[in-house]
Amino acid sequence: MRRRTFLAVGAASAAALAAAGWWSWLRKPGAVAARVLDDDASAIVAAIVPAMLAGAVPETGPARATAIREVVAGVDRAISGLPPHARTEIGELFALLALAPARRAFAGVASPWSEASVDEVAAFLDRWRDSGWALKRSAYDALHQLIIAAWYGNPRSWPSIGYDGPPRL
Amino acid sequence: MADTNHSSLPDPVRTGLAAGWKVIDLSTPGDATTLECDVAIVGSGAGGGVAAETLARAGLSVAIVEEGPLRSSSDFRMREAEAYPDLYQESAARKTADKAINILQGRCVGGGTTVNWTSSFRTPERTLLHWVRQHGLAAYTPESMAPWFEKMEARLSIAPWRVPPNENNAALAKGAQARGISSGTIRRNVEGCANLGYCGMGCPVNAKRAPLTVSIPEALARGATLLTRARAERLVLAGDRVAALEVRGMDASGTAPGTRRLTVRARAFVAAAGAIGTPGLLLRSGTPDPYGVVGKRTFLHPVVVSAAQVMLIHGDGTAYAVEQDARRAIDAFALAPLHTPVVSAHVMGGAPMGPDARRAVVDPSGRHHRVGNLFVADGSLFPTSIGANPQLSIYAIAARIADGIATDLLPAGAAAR
Repeated sequence: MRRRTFLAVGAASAAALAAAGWWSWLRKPGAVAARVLDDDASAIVAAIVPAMLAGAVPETGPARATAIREVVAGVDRAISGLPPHARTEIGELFALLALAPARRAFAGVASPWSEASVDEVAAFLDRWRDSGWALKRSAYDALHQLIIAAWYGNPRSWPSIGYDGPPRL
Repeated sequence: MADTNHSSLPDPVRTGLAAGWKVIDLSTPGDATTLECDVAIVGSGAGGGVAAETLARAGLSVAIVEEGPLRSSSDFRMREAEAYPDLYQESAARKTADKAINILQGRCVGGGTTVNWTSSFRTPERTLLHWVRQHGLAAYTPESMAPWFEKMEARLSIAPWRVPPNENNAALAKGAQARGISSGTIRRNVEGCANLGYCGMGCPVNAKRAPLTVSIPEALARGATLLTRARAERLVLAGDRVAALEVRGMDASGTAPGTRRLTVRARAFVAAAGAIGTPGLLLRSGTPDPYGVVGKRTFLHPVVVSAAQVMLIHGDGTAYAVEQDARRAIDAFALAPLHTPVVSAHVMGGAPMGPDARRAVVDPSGRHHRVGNLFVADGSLFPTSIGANPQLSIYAIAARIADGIATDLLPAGAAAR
């Protein structure tokens, strides 16, 4: 029995995804790539991080940029640790969000990701989290888990939660 | 990254490797394409580990096939970002088909027992009695299981945890007492526990008495072979027997199948790949299943997540200081898939045991009803959820099943030698 496809959004969007050539997004099976996120996907994650981690990542300055960059890298690493079927599903999600019409229609984000405001992205995340459509809630969950894991796995986040890191033995 | 350097602490696994244990990492190149043994065991967790030790002690040659890597105390650096991808199925993000429940399963030598929190409960009496009455498991009374629990408790140093509770746990005990809820001290399979609180990322001080530190080393010291990063792809059936097990090495990342292949030939095969892995292997292999029982009745112990100070983890959650406010908020939460975060370890069922070949995959001795030399020895045997942390149940039942396999194989084996 096949696992249910993450984004079974119908024939129209499947065709759109194929046209977008999103397969190239994924690394070749068996290859050990340092990166699994392409530039489009990285830009999407970079836009979502400040909204998802509002109040957690530094508010301004170079520290903010560094934190966001490291979370994007952490998400990249986390995805590369997933089995092929899960990487494929997440690839489908980012491929869909990278298409401007799909971004507007499904996510309700008018601006390109690199220009979207934190408020605009936060509103999109709230809509997906509370959506009546389980597919959107599961996509929100995936983004949430990846980004939270990437941030709290990063020692940079630990002082803000009073965690000193693992004990020395 | 040298902040948790503990290379000076003893690491019995690395010591054993240096002493010449037969361990083959199938993600690396190599010549071997076949392996012959008396018993091939799929999985090295609570079931597979105990089965391997039992069968090796009986003098049988054993091969253990494990999809995950061999990691040991020197590798356990107490960092989530390293431990989850390395030691858990799907980086600890395995999910149900609808993605509403996150499933935590180990994927490393020792399986879940390498990353569990060491709670060691006997199968509750009411569960065993239910199995006896409703599932025909007449040999699974509390009395007949007691010697097997005792054996494994002695082997794995299972005893009540004597360290006084920390403030969190003391507060829970106090609250439970105030509300008239009974509470007690858990029993754990540890020796020399440093109370670090990082059990879920592998014990860096080897306090866990479990397959990784006890059963697998014993089997390897007795000449067993351990294949790591080795996925059991398919049992090759010949009539009503398994002729061989086809194994595929994982790629260097350990997340996808690689190129190396190996065939294991054995007299008996034990599936102990966990309650998702074992039914999966049986289904992939096309083992006879005329009543469609395999992979059905899979059980979880789902838990919802909350945190201290009545901070409720939920899509609608905020921090509540007053219990009444929190209680009202909980009542108002929608308990809906993908809205309420639900997590479960303890996957059970899917290849149940029982005397009735229409309801059960294996008989009460663990032997497949329709494939004579195929056995199951893990949590997939349970005909129902057991209602307690399952490791001691699996240890005890696997020990009993493996003892039966040894008895079954030995007279013929002795004659053949």
